Amino acid sequence: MRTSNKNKSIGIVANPYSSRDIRRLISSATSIQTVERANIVERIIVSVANFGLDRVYMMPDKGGISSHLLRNLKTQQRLKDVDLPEIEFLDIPITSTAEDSENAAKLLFEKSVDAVLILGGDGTHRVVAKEIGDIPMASISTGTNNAFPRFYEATLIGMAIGLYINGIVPAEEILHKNKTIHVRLNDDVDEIALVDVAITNDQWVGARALWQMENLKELYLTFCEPSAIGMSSIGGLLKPVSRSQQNGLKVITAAPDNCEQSVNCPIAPGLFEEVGIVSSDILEVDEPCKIETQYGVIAFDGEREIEFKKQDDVVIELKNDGPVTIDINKAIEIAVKQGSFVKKKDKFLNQENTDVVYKGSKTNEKVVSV
Amino acid sequence: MSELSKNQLLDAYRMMRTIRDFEVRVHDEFAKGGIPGFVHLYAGEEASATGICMHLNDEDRIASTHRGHGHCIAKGVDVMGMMAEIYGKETGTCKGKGGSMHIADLDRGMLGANGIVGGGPPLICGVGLAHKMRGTDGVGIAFFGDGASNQGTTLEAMNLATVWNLPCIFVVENNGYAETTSSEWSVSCDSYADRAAGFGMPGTTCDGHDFFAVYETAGEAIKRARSGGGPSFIEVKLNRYYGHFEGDSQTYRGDNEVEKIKAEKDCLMLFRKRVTEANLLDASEMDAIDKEVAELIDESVKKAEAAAEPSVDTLLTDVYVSY
Amino acid sequence: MARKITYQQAVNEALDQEMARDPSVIVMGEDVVGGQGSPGEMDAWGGVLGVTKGLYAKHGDRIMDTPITESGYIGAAVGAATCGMRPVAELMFIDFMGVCLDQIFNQAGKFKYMFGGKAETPVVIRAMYGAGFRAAAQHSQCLYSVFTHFPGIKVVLPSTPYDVKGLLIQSIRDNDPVMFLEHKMLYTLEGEVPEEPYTIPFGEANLVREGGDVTIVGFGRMVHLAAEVADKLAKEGISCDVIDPRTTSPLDEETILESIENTGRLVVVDESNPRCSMASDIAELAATKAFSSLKAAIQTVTAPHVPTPFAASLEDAYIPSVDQIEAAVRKVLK
Repeated sequence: MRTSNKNKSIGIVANPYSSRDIRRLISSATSIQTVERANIVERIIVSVANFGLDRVYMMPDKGGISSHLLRNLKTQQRLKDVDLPEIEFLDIPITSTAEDSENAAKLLFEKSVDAVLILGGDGTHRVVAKEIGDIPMASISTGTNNAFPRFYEATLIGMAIGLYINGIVPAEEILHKNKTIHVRLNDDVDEIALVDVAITNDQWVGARALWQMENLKELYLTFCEPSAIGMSSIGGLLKPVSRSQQNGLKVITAAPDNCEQSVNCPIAPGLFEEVGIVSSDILEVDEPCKIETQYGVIAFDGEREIEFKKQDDVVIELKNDGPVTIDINKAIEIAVKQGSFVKKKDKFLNQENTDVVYKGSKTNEKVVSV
Repeated sequence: MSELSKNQLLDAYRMMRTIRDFEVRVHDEFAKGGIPGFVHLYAGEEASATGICMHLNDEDRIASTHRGHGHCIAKGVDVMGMMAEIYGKETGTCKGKGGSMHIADLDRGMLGANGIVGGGPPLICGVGLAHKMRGTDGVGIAFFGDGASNQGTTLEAMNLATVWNLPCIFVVENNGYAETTSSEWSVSCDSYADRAAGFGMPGTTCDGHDFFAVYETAGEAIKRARSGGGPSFIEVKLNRYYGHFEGDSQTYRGDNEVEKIKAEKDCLMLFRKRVTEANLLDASEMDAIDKEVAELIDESVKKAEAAAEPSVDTLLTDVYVSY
Repeated sequence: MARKITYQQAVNEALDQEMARDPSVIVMGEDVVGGQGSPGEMDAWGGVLGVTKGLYAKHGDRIMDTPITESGYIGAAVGAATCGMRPVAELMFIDFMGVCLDQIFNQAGKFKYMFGGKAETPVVIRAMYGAGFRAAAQHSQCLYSVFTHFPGIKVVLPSTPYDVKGLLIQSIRDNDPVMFLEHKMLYTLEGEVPEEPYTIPFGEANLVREGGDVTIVGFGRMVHLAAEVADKLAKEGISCDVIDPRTTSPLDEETILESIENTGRLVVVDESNPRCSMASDIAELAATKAFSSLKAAIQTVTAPHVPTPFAASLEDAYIPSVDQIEAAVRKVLK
C-alpha cells in the first residue's frame, strides 16, 4: 500500500506581511507573530515528512519567517535526528507585499508541486487561488477573517497533506472543488473572490480592509456559513449557503433605518455592525449579472481592491472553477478507517509490517519488543 | 471619516505639493550654496505627514525628527518663517536660532524637529499625560524613523505609554535606511506590529505612498486615542527621494532605486490619478494649486534671501542666563 | 521661635503646598508613591528614602509611580511641561543622569533658545547627591557641575531646611528647567522653617558667616563644614566670610566677588571631583574678575579625582574634611 514518495513536493506560501492591516487597530484582530508563523510552518513540514516528502518549495521573505524556519529546522535536526526534506526557496523578487504570495503561487504552479500550503486568511488564499490552477490547497488560518480556510492545528494539516500526496487516501474522496465569484470590469479585468464580493460607495481603496458598513451596497457570496466571520457573516446569519451547494447568495444592503430587517453581524473579529437588508436572493452558477451601484469600490474577500465609476461596466458571475482544497478531517478519517496509523508488530519475530506507512518517531520505534 | 470633501481633498493635495516643492527647492538652493548647515529632506514621504496631520488640531502635538520640514508644514507651521529659518534669518520661525533641525511652533502643536534620533517619543508621552490629566481629548503623535525605532528612548516611551494608557501614537516612518544602514538589517523584530504587540499596543502597517491608506489608518488610531483607547503603533512604509542629508552621495542605494519608486509609487502621482479617475477633482484644480504653491515657495526663498540675519544682540536672549 | 522640621520634611512640605495651590503641579518618579500594581498598600515607600511619603493620600493620581525608565519619564515630564503642566520628576540618585541626560540637556535645556523663545519648559528634576552614605561609586556623586555646564538649565543646591522649602517652591514656579539637588546626608538635618509657603530667589547667595580675613565658598553639605571651620578659627581671631551660593546656575557672582575684593583670600570647598568642578569654576571667576584683589594663591578643597569608594575608611578620606578646610584657610593666610 505504501507508494513511492520519490519526487513528492509541496509548496508553502507564508507571507509575513499578511494580517497586519488596520483591523489590528479597529478591532484587536488576530496578529500572529512572525516567530509563531515560522513555528507553524515547521510543524507542518515535520508532520508531512512523517509520511514521506522530498522537497519543500518555500516562498522567500525578508520578514523573518524564512530565517526563523531555517533556524528551527536545524535545531529539530540537531535535537531529534529527524529526516527532513530539502527546503528550496523560490526564486522570486522579494517585494514584501502581497505580490510575493502571487509570484510564489505562479512559480509553484509551474513546478507542479503535489500540494500547496497557505498561511493566511481569505485575502492570501484568494491571491494564491488565482494562480494555482487545480493543485490542491491546504490552509492554515492565520489571517484576519478566516471564512475560507478552516481552523486546524498545523500538525494535523501536515498529516492530511502527507496522506494525500503519498496516495494513502484516495484523492477523489478528499479533494473539494470550490466556487468563485468572477468580477469583470469593462471586459478587460477579470478578478475572482473565494468568499465574497462587496460593492461599496467608498471613495478609495485606502487602507484596503473593509469595515465601514454604512457604505456597503451589494454583497455577492459563494457560500456563507452561520459560523463565519467577515462579510459572509451577513449571509451566514441570514440565509446560509454551504460550500458544496450549487448556488451562491446575493444581498442588497442599505442603512438599517431604511430597511424592514437588519442583521447584527461580526464583520471582523471583535467587531459587530448592524447591516440593513433590502433583499437577499439566490445567485445561480454561470449566470452573469450587472451590479446596481454606480460608483465606488469593489472589495474581494474583505479587501477593497478596485475603484470604479459611472461609465464602468461591472459584471458578477458565480462559477464552479475555484481552487481545489484538501478536506483535512476526511483525509484523516479515511486513513483511520483503513488502519493506516496502526503499527502491527510480529511479536515473535519483532519485525515491522511493511504495509505501515507511518514512520513515526524514533522513540516509537523503540517501543517494540516484548 | 470614510469620505473627504472636495475642499479636504484639495487641502491634502496642497499640503503634499507644498512639502514637495519646499523640499525640492531647498535641495536646489542648498546645492547652489545658499543654505548653511545640515539639511535632511522629506521629499517622497509627503503622504505620511499629510495623511496623519489632517486629523489633528492645534491642541494635538507632534514631535518630529531631523527630517522635519514635512511634519512642520503638515502641522500648519508658516512656510515663509520656515524657509527663513532654514536660511538662518531673523524672520525665521525660531528667529534664526534653531535652523532646519529645530523648527518648532508650539501654537500649532509642533513640538519641534529634533536633532537627536529618538528624542521625541518620551516627550510625546508627556504630551499625552498632559492631555489625560486635564481630561481633554487631545493626542500626541511621535514621528520617528526606522533608525530611532531601535533607540532605548523610543522603546521606553512605548512601554510608558501603555503603562499609563496615554493618548499617544507612535508612527515609524520606515524609509528603509537609517543614514546608510538598511532597516532590514538593523531592526531586530521581523515586524513592527510584532514589536508593538510586545508592548501591549496594537500595531499596523500601511503604505506610505498612498495618502488614503495613511489617512484612514491614522484616523482609526487617533480616534482610538481620543476616546481613551490608549496608544497604538503605525508603521508607514515609504521612501525618501534624497539622501540622508544634503550632500549624501547615496552609494548604498540600489541601481535606479529612487527613479523606479518615483515612476511607480510617487504619492502625488498616485493621489492625482485616484482623484481624477474617480472624478473627485479636476486636473485643472490641482494644476492651479501647483501654480500657487510654486509662487509661494518662490516668494519664501526670495523673502528669506532678502531678510536680515539675526542681530548679534539676540545672541544672549531667549535663555535665562548669561555668564 | 519658629517651628523646626527636617530637610526631608521641607521637601515634602514644599511639594504638598505647591500641589495644593496649583493643579498643574504633578510629581512622578520611581517609587515616589510605592506599591503601584503590587498586592499590598499604596504609598509603600514614598520615595526610596521616604521623602514624598504621604503625598499620595492628599493628591492621589497627581503623584505617579513610573516604571524604571528614566529616559521615558524624564522625557515625559519635559514634554508635559511644554504643554503647561509643572511636573516635578524625581531622578532618585543623580548618578542615574547618564541614562536620561539627552532629555535634560538636549531637549529641556534648549527648547526655549532653539525655538526662538516660543517654548517654556517649567520642569523640576529632583535628585539626591553626595557621599557619606556608604553607597559607593554609582550612588554617591555630586555631578552638579555637569548640569551647571549646560546653558538653559538652572541648578539648585539647598543646604538647609529653610532653603529647601523656599528654593523648591521657587523651582516649581520657575518657567525654566530646574535641577533641584538634595544632599542625602542632609535629609535628617533640622532647621527653622515657616509653615506658610515662601520663595527664595535664584542667584542670591547666602552669607552664612561674616568676616574680613578669608572668603570660603562652599556648596551643599560643604557649607556646614566651612561654617564649622569659620567658627573654630573665629576663636583664634581669624574671621571668615562663608558663602553658600545656593544656586550654581544662575550664580551670584557679585556676592562672591565683593567678598574676595574685601578679603583678598579665597578657599573653595566642593565635594565633587576636582577637574571641571565648581571649585575650578569659582577659582576661574576670581582669577579673571578679582585678580588684582588676590593676596594669595586660591586654595580648593575637593574630593580626589577618583570614584567614590565604598569602605568607611576610604570614603571618609575621600570626602573633604574640616581639617582640610582649616589647613587651606591657614595656607591662604600665610
